[in-house]
Amino acid sequence: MAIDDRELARRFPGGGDAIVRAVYERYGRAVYTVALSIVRDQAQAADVLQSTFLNAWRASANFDPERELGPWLYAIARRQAIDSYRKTARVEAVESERLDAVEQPPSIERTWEVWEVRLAVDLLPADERDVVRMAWFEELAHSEIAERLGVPLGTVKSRSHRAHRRLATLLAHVVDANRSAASSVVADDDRSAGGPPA
Amino acid sequence: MSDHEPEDPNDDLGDLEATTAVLDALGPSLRDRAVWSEPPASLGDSIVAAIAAERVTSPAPPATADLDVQRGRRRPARWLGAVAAAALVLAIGAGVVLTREGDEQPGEQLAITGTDLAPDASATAVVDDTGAGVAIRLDLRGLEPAPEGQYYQGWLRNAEGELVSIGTFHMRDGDATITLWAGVEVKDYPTLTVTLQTEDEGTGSSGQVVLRGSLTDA
Repeated sequence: MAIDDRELARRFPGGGDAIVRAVYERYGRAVYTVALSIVRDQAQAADVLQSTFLNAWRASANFDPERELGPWLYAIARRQAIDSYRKTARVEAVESERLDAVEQPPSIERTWEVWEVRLAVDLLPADERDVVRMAWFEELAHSEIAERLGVPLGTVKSRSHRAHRRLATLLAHVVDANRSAASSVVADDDRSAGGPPA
Repeated sequence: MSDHEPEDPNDDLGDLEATTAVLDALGPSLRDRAVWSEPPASLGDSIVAAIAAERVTSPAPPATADLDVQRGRRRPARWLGAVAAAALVLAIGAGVVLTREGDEQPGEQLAITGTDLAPDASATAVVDDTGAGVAIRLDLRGLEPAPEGQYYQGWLRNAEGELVSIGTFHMRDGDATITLWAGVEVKDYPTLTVTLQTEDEGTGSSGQVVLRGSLTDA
């Protein structure tokens, strides 16, 4: 039986293998997505995923289980990824003698958005997730998706419709928060307004 | 994304418009490779194993631990040492742990990663500032053996780009742990690189960097 987020948050501090694995299954892919969106290197992102979980577990004694576990992990992941990104960028800049060419990492709003999108996508049934991926990431038309999957066009359309409605419901708060952030600075650690954690 | 076709007769135009507005706003993320990429399949097992290894030495996370442990601030000494380092080596396969003899300052874990010339290579370094010099132990993974007539060379580099050689090796017996020595301070020469060198082509860097990483957070 799946453990809900509140129970995961309560049991994660000092938790055993099963809890660590459950937290990884729930949030590991989203952590990886945040890391990859920043470092843009799969091996480096895997290292960030590893260090995020190690640091989260080490710091879990200070975690308030009344808070949400996901945003807390997101904040650790973003910090780890940016540290990794800056170190690599600095080395490359030194080696190329272009210290002025170090790019800034993606904004906190941007990384929080990919975090939320990844969590929402992972909640979709596999057949709907495949259709969404092909439509958005591979930019295939419904007819091309039908051919790829070997299913009738109508099936693809209905899956697509269900999936997109589900995603829109799951992600409406992200768009609202982005609109708010565009006109005001999001306070650190303020999840009550649906914005990204610090 | 504009070809959403409603199949539900109960849908109204408002629902469709709202769905389209949300998804179009999030289009850049939905098209982002990061959203659709999967971490290595074995990584979950490695993470569980690494945390289990730490649990052996410290049954519960210390109450004073916080997120700054990775940022070089003091943490309990029991979090240092071979078991933690071994767990990181086991699971991460890349990173740097800085230690100093007689000083329980916490380590900074930094990635030493393979470049495009050696994308599968990685290393874990332990830097030990001894009375005789700075010993840099590298646990190397995935670095191909140097071809005949070539060898690897370690370097420390400062902000001005000046290089100090810290030794050579060949990796012809597979993954290995080696120790390189530096007579300069890591804080002054914080960038570690490993280059592939060719015999009889002089003692300067070939510029063919196969591994690199920073040894400080400065």
